[in-house]
Amino acid sequence: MTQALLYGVFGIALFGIGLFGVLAITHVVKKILAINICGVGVFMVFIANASSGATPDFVPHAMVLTGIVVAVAGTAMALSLVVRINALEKPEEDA
Amino acid sequence: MPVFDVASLLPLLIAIPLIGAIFSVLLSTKHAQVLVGLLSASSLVCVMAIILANLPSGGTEFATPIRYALAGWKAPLGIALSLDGFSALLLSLTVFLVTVLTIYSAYYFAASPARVRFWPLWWLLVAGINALFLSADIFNVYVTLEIIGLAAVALVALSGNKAGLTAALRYLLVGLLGSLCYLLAVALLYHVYGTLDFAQLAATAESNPLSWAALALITVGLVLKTALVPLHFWLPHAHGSAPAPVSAILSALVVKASFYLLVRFWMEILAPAVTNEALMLLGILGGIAILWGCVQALRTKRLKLMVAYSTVAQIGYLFLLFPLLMSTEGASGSQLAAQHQSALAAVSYFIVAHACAKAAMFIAAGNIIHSLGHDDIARLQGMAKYMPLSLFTFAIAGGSLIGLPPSAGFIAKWLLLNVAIDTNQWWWVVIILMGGLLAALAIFRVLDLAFIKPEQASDYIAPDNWQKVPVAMPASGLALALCTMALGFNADLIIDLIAIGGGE
Amino acid sequence: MFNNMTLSDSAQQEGGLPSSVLFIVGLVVATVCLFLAMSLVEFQPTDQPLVTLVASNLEQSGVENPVTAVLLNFRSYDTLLEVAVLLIVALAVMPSGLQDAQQPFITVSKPRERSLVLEAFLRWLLPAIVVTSGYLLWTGASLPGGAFQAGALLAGAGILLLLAGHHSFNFNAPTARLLLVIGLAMFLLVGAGVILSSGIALAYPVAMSGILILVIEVAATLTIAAVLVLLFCALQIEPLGPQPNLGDKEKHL
Repeated sequence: MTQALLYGVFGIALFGIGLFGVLAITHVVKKILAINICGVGVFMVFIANASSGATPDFVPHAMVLTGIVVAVAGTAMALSLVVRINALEKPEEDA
Repeated sequence: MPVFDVASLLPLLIAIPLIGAIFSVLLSTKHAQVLVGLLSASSLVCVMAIILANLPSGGTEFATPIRYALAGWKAPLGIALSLDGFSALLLSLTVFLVTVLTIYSAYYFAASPARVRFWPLWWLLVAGINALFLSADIFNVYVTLEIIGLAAVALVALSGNKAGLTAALRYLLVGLLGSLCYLLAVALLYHVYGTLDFAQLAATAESNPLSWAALALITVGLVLKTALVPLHFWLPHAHGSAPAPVSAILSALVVKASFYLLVRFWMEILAPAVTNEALMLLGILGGIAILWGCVQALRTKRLKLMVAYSTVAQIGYLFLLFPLLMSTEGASGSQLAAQHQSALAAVSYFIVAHACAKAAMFIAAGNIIHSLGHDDIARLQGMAKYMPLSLFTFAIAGGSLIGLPPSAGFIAKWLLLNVAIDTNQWWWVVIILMGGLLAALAIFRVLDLAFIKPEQASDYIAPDNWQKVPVAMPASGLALALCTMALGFNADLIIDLIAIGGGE
Repeated sequence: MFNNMTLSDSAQQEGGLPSSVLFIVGLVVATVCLFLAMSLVEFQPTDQPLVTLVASNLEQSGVENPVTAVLLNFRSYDTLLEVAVLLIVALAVMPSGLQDAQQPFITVSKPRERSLVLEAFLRWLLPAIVVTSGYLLWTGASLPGGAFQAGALLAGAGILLLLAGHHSFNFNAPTARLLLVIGLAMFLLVGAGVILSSGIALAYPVAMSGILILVIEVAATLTIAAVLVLLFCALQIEPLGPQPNLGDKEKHL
């Protein structure tokens, strides 16, 4: 088992941890964090695979950079929604 | 003979809405935004018309998709746009619906402060949908999926109340999770095949554990976004609490976008990894979706929620495509190709019929909310007197969803039944017919109340806060509903278009 | 339907799911991951054709850093759409309110409480950050760096400025809106403009590609910085309004 493969397998493990978190945790902010962990796992799989050859493959690097920006965007949007819902929170309304 | 290359027009379908978005951010006055919207919509219509007119027509001898290599770099290095019959049909549908909904939105958001953000987000969503239908690169598809997902969430959140924001947040989390599953599959596929291009993947893909894993991840991710039954929980509230034009585009196009990708992967890109059992599983989930969606539609008390549950059921019909693709023993390759072609044609027809009917229904429901201030089904009694056009639209569109004869919905179901019988899968016939019956019950429940006889309705007068809507609002809904009727008489148009560049 | 529970959001309701459900979920996730990992381990990677393709075409891309070449030349369309994603998020979190549209982008006022250390720090740091950001942008052509790194750094400067309290940003101002779209607009403009010389959208002529990529990156940097500062404002400033921000009290809600 090469080092790159090890990173790849751990990437998948991270994805699994995140996935479990998303499904099992009910707290919204932690759920958002879990999604980010999931994303990091996916990025790790990309990067690990890119370095499995003699020279690194740069296309996955670029894809991960794009992916990170998209992940930041998604996280920011989710957090802003949480903030807005929190501001509207009233005890009378049903959950 | 085309004088120019049709392919060079493809980037315009993405650039026009993006330019529209930029100008609607910069010019935030009401009239400027509407003007930008109308200009963008009309130029999209022109470009799409030119593309359709120059498509290679006629038989399957022109069965190669049109390709355009962006940035001048050929496929494994660069990103290509591609257009075949299936994507051309969905693009035309998008352009048509967007045009009608743009006109509708101009009135719907006329007095609302939400319009400042609605218009740019609207055009970004359209750009994302067009980009997805044109893309021929699996990573690029991920980016377009995120554009669609994030723009859709932002549009749902425009409603600004707690229910809407909560639905938007749930929609966002589900969407992000779905995209990540898809992205992991992209990582695996790139690792195995060293390319991201649709055509090159389709040429080299084979049946191995990593392909299965990738296909499974893609399917879970996209089914989550398409809202097939066990994973549909987010849809009714997201679609039910968004502003009317947003609900319309979400139900009509956004869920279809991820379905389109599923079809691409299952029929084309990863076709060797597909097994009959997996096809059957998707079909069974589709069948459950039809019945479950209809039953929920019957039980709900709010009109928009009912229309949204009906979308859950209609998505179920789309997934009946998959069992109809099953290969039978002893069938030759050309027989199988013909079977795939007719199944795809039936489902494409279904997509178009449902998109027009559902958009019309959401417009009608939006008008009702706009003038009554609520969409409680029980309180709609006798309201046909006050809103004849909207409820008439609702009735016609409902007829198409049920599958009553002159409508497009009828032809779509007829085609689907034909393929089901041809492939000896008669049990789908039972489900399709039951689905129609249940949908009829749900829709007639509303119509029965709304069109109740005047002497019985004497108690039910319009509420005090009743507002008349501008005539263009119900008219655009009615136009869409009539389109479903017109499509019922012109079925060949769509079926011929699908044949170009085939699904194979 | 796990996601139905997402909004029981305060800490007291944690662990809402029964442990039997958790166990099943964990089992399913573990099985899936095990299968994924096994299939990944079993697979022998073939040679990667893109490695040689990127290397052989790098000269024509106008930059020496292969990652920048992929991001802004070979797969520039992805990056174009990514800038569109940032615009979507900016619009989604933008404070609504037309009345601010006439106000200037930056207003200077007396802060409620002055933080002398931060102010002194800022005076030293701000010019350095701006210069470093420019350097990162410039160096992205040959070394790791580029629009996103530069934009993030610049956004850091903006956030420090906000924290010092003398300045506040109004993102409904015309200037702010221009900043938010300029990255996408410049990308589209260049992408369309090169059709005149090369005939293909986004295909830069080889001689000009270096400078065109820089132009796109400068615009993208401004947009990225603006979007990130806007995100900070939307997430940080708003909740400070209604509730006093006392670290101890948060947990009890």
